[in-house]
Amino acid sequence: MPEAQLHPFGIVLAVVFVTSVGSILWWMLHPPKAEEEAPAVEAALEAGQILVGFHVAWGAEDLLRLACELGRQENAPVTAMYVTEVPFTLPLDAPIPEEDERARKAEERARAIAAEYDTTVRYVIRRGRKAGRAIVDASLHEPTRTIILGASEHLGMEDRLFGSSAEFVLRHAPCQVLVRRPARAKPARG
Amino acid sequence: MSGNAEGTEITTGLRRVVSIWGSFTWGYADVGADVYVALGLVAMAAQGATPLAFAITGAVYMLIGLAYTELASTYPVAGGGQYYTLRGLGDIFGFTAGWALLLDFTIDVSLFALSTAGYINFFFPGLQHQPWLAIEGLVVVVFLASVNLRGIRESSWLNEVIGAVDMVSESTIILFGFLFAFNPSFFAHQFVTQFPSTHDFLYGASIAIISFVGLESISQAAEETLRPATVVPRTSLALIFTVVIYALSFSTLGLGVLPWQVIAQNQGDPIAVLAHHIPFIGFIAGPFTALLAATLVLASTNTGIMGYSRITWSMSKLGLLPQWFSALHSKFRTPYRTIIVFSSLAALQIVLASLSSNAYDTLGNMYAFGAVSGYVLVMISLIRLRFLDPDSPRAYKTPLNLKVTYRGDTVEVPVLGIVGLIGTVAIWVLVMWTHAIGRIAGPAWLVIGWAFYFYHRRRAGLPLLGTVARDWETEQREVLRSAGEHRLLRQYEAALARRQARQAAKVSQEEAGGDE
Repeated sequence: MPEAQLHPFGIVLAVVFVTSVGSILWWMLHPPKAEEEAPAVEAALEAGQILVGFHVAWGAEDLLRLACELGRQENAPVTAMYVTEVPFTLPLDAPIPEEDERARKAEERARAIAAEYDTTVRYVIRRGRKAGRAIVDASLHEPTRTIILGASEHLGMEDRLFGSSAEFVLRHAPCQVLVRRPARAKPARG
Repeated sequence: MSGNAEGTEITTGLRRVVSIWGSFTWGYADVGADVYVALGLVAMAAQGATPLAFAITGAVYMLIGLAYTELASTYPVAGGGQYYTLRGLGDIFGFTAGWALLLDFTIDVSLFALSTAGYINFFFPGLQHQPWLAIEGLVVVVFLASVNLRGIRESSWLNEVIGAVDMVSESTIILFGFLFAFNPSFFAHQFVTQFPSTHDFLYGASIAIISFVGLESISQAAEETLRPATVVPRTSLALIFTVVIYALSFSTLGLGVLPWQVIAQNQGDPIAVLAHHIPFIGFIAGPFTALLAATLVLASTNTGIMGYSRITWSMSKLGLLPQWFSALHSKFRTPYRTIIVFSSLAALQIVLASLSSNAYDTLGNMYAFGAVSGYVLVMISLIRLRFLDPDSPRAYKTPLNLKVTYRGDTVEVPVLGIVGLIGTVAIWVLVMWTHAIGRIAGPAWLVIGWAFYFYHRRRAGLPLLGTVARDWETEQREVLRSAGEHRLLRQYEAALARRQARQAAKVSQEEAGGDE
């Protein structure tokens, strides 16, 4: 092991280093507060919307039915949100016609289902890097009482490494979350 | 029963995903990794004066960083340097800046892929030479290109964790190093007795710029950060100063602990070798730093791939490159042509560089040329945009401004911007003077780019040297609106209204004068 040697000049440099980096990071992490604060959680739980993710892979139709039913029972507005996930190699506003078309078709199906219920439904198509983050973000900036979304059993490599959207929403959402997983197929007998 | 359906809201820019720490580490994963590569290269040239070389270049870098901070918080859009240059100087210069930065991003991928191999080989010293380094580097490029072809949607979280672990580790090495290993007499001895020749020192100073490359990441983070006008100046100023502090600390510590020759000889893993010589933590810090550095430079390599994908997309959107580049893969929705073309170029650069006597130095030469060429144009644009676009609200302005009257308007001329421009031009001259490879291959890259640009513009029926008319006011309104900067949007509208009123008054005054 190299031999240790304590020198006053070294101590001064160490102190200067720690102080400068520490103070810069502290300053950075304490910006002035935003003009518009996020809604209070209590108020949101009483008066907020029901936010439902209607991505096709999540069993969108059942989720939307559940959201509309809940909205009718609780007399709460429903927001149906479709998130187009954009890879990091593209800016968020890059045109992706196939994805836009998929979002539009999903919205058409959602509208057909919502028409069966006496509930106000707002449709939002949003772009984000990950659906989970986009949904949490929406719930932080609009009063939301419940988030409803689906989860898949079959996770891709990225989901396994960094966690799925459902997992992210469960951890970070400021309100209650209902996650629906499709039922497993029963094993055939005999 | 019938549902009460409302209209659909379509939101394209979701900027609320990146936090303050995320915005900071986005840049840190790029710029923070540079010192892991640069220290050995600079020590080889600047010898006992290595910290001085870092200090001089660091001062210029801070001025460039201030310019980027102002521009990124004023125009928080994808595109970075080429976008600012296009707005400030027009299409041909915007293309030149973008093309130079494209060179930088491809070199970034080559150099950092090679460096990833270097730090991994800390554990396999027998492979710390060619052709193994090149082979490993190529594997890294192919792996990351494949991952990006499929599409990465989670990056911020990874950067945040790696950035935090890296900062803690680097700080621990520096702290323990200064406390228990730093020998001021040895440092002074090396500085005084082993000062390099003027040519070598200037070469070292010019190559030191590569430890500060990656300011484009500031603009990329700005596009996805909530309240960019408030957050971006803080995160980018913090990034600029911490990167300089780390670079100065490592170079000072390095020469107070080890002979510069040891650092220069270990260009593949200089920080790991330094960490290995720190008492108490050296036995674990050496291998840990090697592992951490490999991770950080790998993340930086990936930033390069994402960087050229985005900048190419932005350039083709603005008519500077053919739309061919922005085509998306039918299944993965990723810009596969860009990824394949520029990753192949990065792989080719690794192969060519590995044929030279020092692959790191060859790539470092090109890296410095691309970065400095882009920075020169950005610095000019900073100054010109103060005149061309005084109405866009600047949440952050580079300090020290001189008020002058220009065509009836009061314009603030950025004094530090001018000083920074002089410094950047000086480094560009040094690069051209001292870099044997950079002065030939760099301009050759630009000439190829211009030929391609003219060919594309001619085919597309766009002006060759002129600039396509664009509605910047509408675009700026949209940028501020989607960024959630409502207060700045109001300021912008008010400034535009004042300008219109002034112009109307001027016209009526002229008409009245004409009647008389």
